[in-house]
Amino acid sequence: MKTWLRNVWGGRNVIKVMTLAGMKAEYSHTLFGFLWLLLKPALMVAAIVATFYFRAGDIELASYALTVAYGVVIWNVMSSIINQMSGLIYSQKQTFLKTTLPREVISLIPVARTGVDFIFGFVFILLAHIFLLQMPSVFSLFVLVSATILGALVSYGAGLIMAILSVYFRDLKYLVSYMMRILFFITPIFLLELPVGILTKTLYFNPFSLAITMGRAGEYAHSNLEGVIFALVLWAGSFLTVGVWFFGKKVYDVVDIV
Amino acid sequence: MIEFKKVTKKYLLQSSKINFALKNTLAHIGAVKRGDIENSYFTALDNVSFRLENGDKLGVIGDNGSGKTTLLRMCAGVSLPTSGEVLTDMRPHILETSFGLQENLTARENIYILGYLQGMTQKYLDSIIDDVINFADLGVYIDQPMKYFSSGMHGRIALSLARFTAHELLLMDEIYSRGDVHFKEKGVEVFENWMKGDKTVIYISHDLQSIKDFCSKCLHLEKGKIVAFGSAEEVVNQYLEGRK
Repeated sequence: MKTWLRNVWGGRNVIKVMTLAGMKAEYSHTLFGFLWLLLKPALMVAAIVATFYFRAGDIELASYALTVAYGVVIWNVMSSIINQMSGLIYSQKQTFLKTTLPREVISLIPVARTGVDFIFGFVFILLAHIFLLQMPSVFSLFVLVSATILGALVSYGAGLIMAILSVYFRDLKYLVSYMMRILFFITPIFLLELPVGILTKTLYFNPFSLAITMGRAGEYAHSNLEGVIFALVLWAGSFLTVGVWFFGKKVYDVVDIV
Repeated sequence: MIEFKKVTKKYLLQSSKINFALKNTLAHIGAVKRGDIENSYFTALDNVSFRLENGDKLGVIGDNGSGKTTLLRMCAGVSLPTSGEVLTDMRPHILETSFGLQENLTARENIYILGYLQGMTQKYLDSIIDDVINFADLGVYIDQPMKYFSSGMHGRIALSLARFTAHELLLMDEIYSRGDVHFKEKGVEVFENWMKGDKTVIYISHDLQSIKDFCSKCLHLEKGKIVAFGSAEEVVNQYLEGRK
């Protein structure tokens, strides 16, 4: 892990410029250009507030709107990393083939790209708090950021495995897309908790649910928060360990055959 | 020093990736013979062994598809052998035309990307950036996106940056002659300086005369196998004899 961190630190400039390159490519030829970095989270938060908070001063609805916004932000981070990572070897093939830097550096570009989006999303959540006259506690913000980071680690670990497997099995791209849709429906993004029944039992097996439940702890406390955090840390550690190991072992092979 | 010890490189054929994955899984459980999987591979390098000392200049010749680029990638460490070993104690700098260029970024930003990808630090790049820009003669275009640049301009940037590399091993794929007449002269001058300097150079080219003139050694590859390895003069002459 020490070597891995040293390699990543050594390649931080590559991550920075390649992230910038990705954003420039994404927003080139758009009317608002880089303003979309602000517009995307602004519109998302505005849509949530407008949908769930239409009566000024209704504290319960305001809290609910914020809780949903927390869930959406965490979901976006996790799903965006997984989606980008599953096509990583194809999208960055030329970079992989021609750099003398360790390859884990390149694998962090999608994470950095998503991190930029999260920072702007986080700012707009703060603004929503102010707009809804519900000032966040330090604890709320701390658990939101911590849960997002843990969720991002789960997605990064899982993404490393998918990045390799999707070269052998191109079909995985479509399977991932369906898997994300299923996860979307069984994750409590718009609900405060999973409804009683079989879905309740999926909480500890679904890192998305765990991250969102933990991230909302400051706004809506779960009865077993310690258990949720423990399970999420366990998922993050496991996926990261297996992902880094598997990616390191196979990345040279798969870049050759893309 | 750089040494290839019985290096073999096999690539999985594009059409058989899924078959390979299935066969490999079946082979693991013993339902298919391991030997059947061999048909899914293309051998790019076959049992290649040679050694270069620091400061050697190696020209690599051979027909298209003979394994020259694979050999260059292995020297750089961006591709690993299927079997055998590549040993080196030198830091490589790869010189290719389209090296990591990002079309939406400006030429200046691309110089930084190229440098970072080659392991150069920001501090070092800051110190050489003006010289690189001047040498590449990019003038007012330096802050324009690369998508408006021709391939000749891409080559200029790659070559101009490589001119300032501190790495000991230079890997070239016939790039120095890119660009217009004016820049070609500059490129040739840089190339000649490298070939007379103390860096180790591995140079892929179809220009046999330049290999004879500048390289101390030459490696002739055909279908992934070494046909000849020795002094540049002898190997090139032998290659030309074989063509007659």
